[in-house]
Amino acid sequence: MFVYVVRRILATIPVMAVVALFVFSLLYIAPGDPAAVIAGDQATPEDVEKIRRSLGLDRPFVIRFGEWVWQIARFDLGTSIFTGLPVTQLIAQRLEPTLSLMVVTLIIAVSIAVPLGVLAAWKAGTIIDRTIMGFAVFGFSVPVFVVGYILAYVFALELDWLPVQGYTPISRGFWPWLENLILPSIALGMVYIALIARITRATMMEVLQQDYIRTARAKGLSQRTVLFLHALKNAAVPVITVIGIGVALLIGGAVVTESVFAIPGLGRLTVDAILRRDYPVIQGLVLLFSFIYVLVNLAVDLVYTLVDPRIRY
Amino acid sequence: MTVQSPTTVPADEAPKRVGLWRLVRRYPTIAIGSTILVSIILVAIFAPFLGTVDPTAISTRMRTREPSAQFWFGTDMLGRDIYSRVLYGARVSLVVGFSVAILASVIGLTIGLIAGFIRKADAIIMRVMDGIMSIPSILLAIALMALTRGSVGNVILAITIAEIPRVSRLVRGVVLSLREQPYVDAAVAAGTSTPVIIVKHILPNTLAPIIVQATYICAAAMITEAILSFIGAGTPPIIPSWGNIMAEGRALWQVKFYIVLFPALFLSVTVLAVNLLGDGLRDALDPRLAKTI
Amino acid sequence: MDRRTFIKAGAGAGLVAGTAGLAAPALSQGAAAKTLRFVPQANLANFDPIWGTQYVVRNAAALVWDTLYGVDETLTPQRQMVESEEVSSDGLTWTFKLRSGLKFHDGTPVLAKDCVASLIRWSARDPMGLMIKALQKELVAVDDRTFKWVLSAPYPKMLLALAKNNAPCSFIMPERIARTDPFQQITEYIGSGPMRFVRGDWVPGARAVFEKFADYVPRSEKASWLAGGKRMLVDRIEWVIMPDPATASAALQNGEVDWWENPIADLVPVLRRNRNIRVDIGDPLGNIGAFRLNHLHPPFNDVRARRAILAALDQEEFMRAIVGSDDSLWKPLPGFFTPGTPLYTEEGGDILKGPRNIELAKRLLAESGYKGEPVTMVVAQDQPVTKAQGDVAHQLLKRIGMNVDFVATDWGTTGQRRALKTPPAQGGWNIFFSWHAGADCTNPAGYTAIRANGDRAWFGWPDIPEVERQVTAWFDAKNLDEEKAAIRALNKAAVENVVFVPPGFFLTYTAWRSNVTGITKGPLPFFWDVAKA
Repeated sequence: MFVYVVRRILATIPVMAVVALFVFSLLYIAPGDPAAVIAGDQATPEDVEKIRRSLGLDRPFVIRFGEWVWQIARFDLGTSIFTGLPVTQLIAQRLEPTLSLMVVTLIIAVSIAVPLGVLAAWKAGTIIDRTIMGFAVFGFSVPVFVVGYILAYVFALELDWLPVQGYTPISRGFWPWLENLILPSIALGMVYIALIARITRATMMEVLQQDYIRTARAKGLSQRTVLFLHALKNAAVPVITVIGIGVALLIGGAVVTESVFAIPGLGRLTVDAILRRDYPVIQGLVLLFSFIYVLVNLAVDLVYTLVDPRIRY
Repeated sequence: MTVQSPTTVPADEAPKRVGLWRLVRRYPTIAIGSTILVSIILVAIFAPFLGTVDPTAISTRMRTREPSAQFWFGTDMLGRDIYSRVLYGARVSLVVGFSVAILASVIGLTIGLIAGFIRKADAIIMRVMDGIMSIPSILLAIALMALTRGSVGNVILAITIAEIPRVSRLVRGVVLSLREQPYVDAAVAAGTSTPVIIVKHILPNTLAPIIVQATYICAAAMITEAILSFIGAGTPPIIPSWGNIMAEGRALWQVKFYIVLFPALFLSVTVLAVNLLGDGLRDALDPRLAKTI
Repeated sequence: MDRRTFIKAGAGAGLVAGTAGLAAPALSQGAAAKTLRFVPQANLANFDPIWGTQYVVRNAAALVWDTLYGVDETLTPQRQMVESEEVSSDGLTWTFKLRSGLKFHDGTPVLAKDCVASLIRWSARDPMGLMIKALQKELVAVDDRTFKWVLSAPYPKMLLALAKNNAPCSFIMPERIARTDPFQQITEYIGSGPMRFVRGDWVPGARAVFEKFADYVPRSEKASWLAGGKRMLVDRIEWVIMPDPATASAALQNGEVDWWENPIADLVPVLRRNRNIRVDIGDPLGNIGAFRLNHLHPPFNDVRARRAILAALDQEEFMRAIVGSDDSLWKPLPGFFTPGTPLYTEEGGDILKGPRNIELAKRLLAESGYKGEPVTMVVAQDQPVTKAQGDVAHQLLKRIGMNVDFVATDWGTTGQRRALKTPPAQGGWNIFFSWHAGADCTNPAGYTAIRANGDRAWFGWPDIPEVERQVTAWFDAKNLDEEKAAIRALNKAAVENVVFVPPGFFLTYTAWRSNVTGITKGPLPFFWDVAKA
């Protein structure tokens, strides 16, 4: 087990290296110039050129890439071209809203989707099953910003139950924090709910047909106990897998959700950084996202072994 | 618009030749999905004959008109007819969806085959694929779009790159499991050349999951195009696309909800149709897969 | 007076003024301990107002840094940090004396050497500053409160240069910060303005926070734009960045923010229906659209091709694409200078008036030798104003028979590409769009875009000697009549030769909650005298 974990962790290094090289090259050949944005509309071309030189953007690829890698090796992501703040600080400022959004989304998605999936499996073939699965396909198909705007319109503007936008740090109280996250989490969670409900249903149906469940039923355990004790535990593995796969989906969706609901998270930081060509920030963020993705998938693999003793490494 | 509809596939590929009605009864999702999709395709092709006007004609004196007899879906901020824009916009979504599905499948298949057959290349290719996969596809697409100018071709390219790893992983998995099969072993032992093995044994077995995967990629690509255009990094504004129409109407969603509503409806329904088709194809072509998802 | 007693006297005066300053807000103690939440026009992504000259940086900087002079609402320079100035009879030596008791946010007094260092950094970047720098013989501190600027030729617009509101403004920073290379970003944000920048609470892209500076000594006059007493009636100002106007509108309606700098016109009817919201024109000087043509390459190196666009240009179409259906928000602009200001003129602007003449445009284009070659039009999609102009221009050019290569990019790429002088096929361009604040276009001083000095001109590089002659005439003008005559001739030459294409003049709204009072119209949001009940 330990060896496996170490091996898996080491295996992430080449992946991260690929990401790093890929992103750096991409940005290097990309047009667009942070110096021009900084200098503003009234600046002369000479001003822009001087700013570019002072930012070190006129130096060759190899030197810039080498410097960057050397920085990363020392756990330094560099300094934002625009704000002059360290990239790590910019990321740290934005981490809480995005993590909160993701955690609440996950909790909402799982607590809605799993019961729905179980219900659908239990009532397989009935109108209930069809409705739930119909809803699931629908959840896949409606873009997150459409859901976001509809939710904001109904629950924030018309009914005035929840705030329209913004984010309150958890340090200012649990409810103010949660209040701001409910609508964006549901919007972002739609795809997730659909995905998890489907996979829960599918695995539940498979598990329900297996011998030991039939035995358990024969032993006279009530149906509900059967479902929740035995079947669900076995259905957990695929559900966890989906959570792992979904992390990339979640990060992508967060970009849009955060701009619809004005949440000052990593997603908006990314879009802003790309539009302004703030290279160190873009590079740092992409590395971070890849790292989270790799880490979550590693965790998912490890959780398998806990949930399902049949899997051994 | 010369996009080949994949809806012709189930008829040929269905396990047994059966009457149309029985097929519909057995796989209702295929029937529903393909009916909607074919309708949208027809609408896209025949957009000029469906009572539309020039979708790019600006007339700011007639801006933000509510839906009426003259403007069925209303007009946008520049006074362009939304009905015409939505109908023409179907072309972009369909072209992007199908092109990405086809390109990602073909390239992913090739890469997956190489990785599955050439041990030395496998490690490197898969690390690269892992790397691309670990970057959220929307971010990757935004970054790629920032690289070039906005054009439909570049949107297709950007989304395709993000989707390739999914297919290549799938294909590689199939190849690796098939190579363990006795009959493939036997073919290798008998000195059958690799291309022949691929054509005879591998391709028939990968086709079904790839077709299913391709429909999901098609649906995902349509949504990604809309999101890219929505955040201003997608299809250029001179070409109407559903994402563009929504992006332009987003600032006004509180007051002129119809600008966002109509393209959102069309997009949702189209993606829904493709997803239904995918579900149906999966049930029909690959019962094993159907059980797992 | 020796140095020591001088400082003592200064400190004493500061103390008196300081207590006076403390007493003033006590009148409105109910309004004290209040936070004003403000949605600015754009993200405050960097905070060096000399290095970065975006409007949003200037607006935030005006809270934190003070200036020697400031323009009032008639655009007249008034003393701000300066107590008195003296100009020698030959107009060559300017001596400035600072008010006493001025302090930076770190508690150190504002000294003449700080002003000297700040002016050196500013004059390396500002167009007017560069003109003064070219004449400069000496810029030195005489004592702690006095410095002098010695020139080789008179510069009558000196006070305007130090007071003007167009970026970069001559903000005064402590010497150690002002010594930063003008092309490098400063890393400390310490000024002597009425508000302190709370760096720890700065989340670029989301929030910027300012706190009242207790030791600020406002002037006794009533505040008027950048001039007069900058009295803060709130303790804390939070800038909340909201890129999505729909979100900002909802937040204002729900009372989550107090003031939204630039609501889009289409949402204004909704805001007006809300009884708790007030809406008014934000900046009476508005903005002027800019449809820039590249004078270096065909087809627009030929004046006939440029004039073709003027003949066909429908300003109403452009303006309504930018401001929406509210016709009180725009004006036709047959010229280049801000309507409603003293130098405004329509001289020579007839080609932009009356019915649009597509046939004339086509004929002019044909005469220029244009034969359907692709015309590269770079349009930034992330700026609503450039996007709207691009959409309308595309239709216009198609209508007069041009073959448009529409390049949809973002502002960052536009900024880089427009600086390239190479032919469009090799990465250059033919057309791009921007806009200028009307406050910058009242006269040629800060109006870089009107200049036509070829290689050294703004992007597009127009080379029109007559325009430059009139710019010089304006700088040399000794009274308003002479200034007006120069601007009339300038406008005529600029339209005739099409320095750039003016798509029109437009205004924007600003909106605030009704419990906020004291908001004034102006080219930037002024926070002094703004109270929140």
